[in-house]
Amino acid sequence: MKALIQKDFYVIWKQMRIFVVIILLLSIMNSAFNIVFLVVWCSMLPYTAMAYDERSHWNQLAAMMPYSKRDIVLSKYVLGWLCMAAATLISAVLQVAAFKFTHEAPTLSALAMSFLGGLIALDLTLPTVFRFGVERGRWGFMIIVFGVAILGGAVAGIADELPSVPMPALALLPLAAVAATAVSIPLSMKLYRVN
Amino acid sequence: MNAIELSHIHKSFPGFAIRDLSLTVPSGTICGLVGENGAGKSTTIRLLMNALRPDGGTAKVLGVDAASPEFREVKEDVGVVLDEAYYPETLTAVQVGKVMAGTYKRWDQGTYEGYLRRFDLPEKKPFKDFSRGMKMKLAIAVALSHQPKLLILDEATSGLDPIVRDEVLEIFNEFTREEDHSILISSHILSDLEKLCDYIAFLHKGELLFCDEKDRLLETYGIFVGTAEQLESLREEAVLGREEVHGYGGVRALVRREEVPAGLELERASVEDIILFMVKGAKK
Repeated sequence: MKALIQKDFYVIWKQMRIFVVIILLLSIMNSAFNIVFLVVWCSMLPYTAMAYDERSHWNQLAAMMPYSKRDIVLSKYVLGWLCMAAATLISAVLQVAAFKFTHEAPTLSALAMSFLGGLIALDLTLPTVFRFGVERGRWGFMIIVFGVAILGGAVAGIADELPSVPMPALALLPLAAVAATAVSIPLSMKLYRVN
Repeated sequence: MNAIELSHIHKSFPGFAIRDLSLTVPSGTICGLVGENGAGKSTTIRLLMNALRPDGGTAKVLGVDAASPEFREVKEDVGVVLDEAYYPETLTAVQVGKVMAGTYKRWDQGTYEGYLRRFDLPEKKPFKDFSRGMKMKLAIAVALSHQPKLLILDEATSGLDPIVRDEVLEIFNEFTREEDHSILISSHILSDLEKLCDYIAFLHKGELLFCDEKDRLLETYGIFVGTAEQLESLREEAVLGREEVHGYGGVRALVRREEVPAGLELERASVEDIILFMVKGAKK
């Protein structure tokens, strides 16, 4: 599986470079919406890798190699997790560093929520794309991703007033992310087919 | 041991089916898989590698059932070159090598770099800028660099210029000098197969018409050239296919040597003659 993730990093490296610049810019502008948008956008990077795979018919070749279906499916989830975790971490570090100069409190709660929202977006969209491919699964995927981003952004906007938000609901978000992942991965393995 | 054993394989698609396909490739031999476009060669290869599940029958590679969990381990021993080299377009040859080093347990970086030099492949150029010949050479380099025991080659020599093709055929020949190394190769270039193969398997519309030793095929069949009257005088069972020789009023036919009179002079049939006459050759 490591080799598949390495391959995907090579494939999306050009996009990643632009992405790192965007992280820097958005993190300086300390807004909850920016952060949510950033992390959720990160959850889309596996689809870029899948689009390249599809265009080159890589999966036909991968079926001849000693990869299991589990490796192929799981590698896309891990790629998404790594990209989102990296964006969250870099963003958190930049916000904490910027605090010394701007004295604007880092929105770490918004970051955590957007990370969880990104996980859920990935869980909701990947099975469809594994089944129908990036091209055909695009519309369903766009609706889900932007729905999650807008909803996440709206919730994150009020994250600083957390005492007024019922705590059980917030505590449910990590649980929801774990549950969605536990359902999504086996579903993707079932739906995966070589396009 | 047999390198490949297909036993009564069935696989149906809308408008096409592989029917009762049984094929054996003994270890240490090279088998050429021949057939027109759409005959089922690539499907057969996908069935062999468990990229497709058959509706019926069994496929064994290097003695292991392709449907078994152990088959993943067998894939370490099989080098595959498909009709296109399906690497993501932004990868370079160096990056392909790094990915393959993480894919195959017995990846040999030295061998891979040796092939890159031998094939004169650029290390840093993105795959999308490779010519078709360069792409196929990269795929061949990968297939040979993880110490495989079996090579499965689907139109691997198409797109190569004659000089490189000859060099690649020589590499395949070298590969089978190890007695447990085998090759299954499909190609439209029948002269390549005649040069390389020990066995020829002919697939026609999803059915295996024959699989036989190449030398026996060449001994069994001959080409008759003469008049239509002379041909008519032969036993019906002797003639497998015929064609008019335009402008001369004569005929050319594929015949079974043992079915024609001993004194009758026959030309040597090539593998291409045998296949073409069998495809076209409705006896008249």
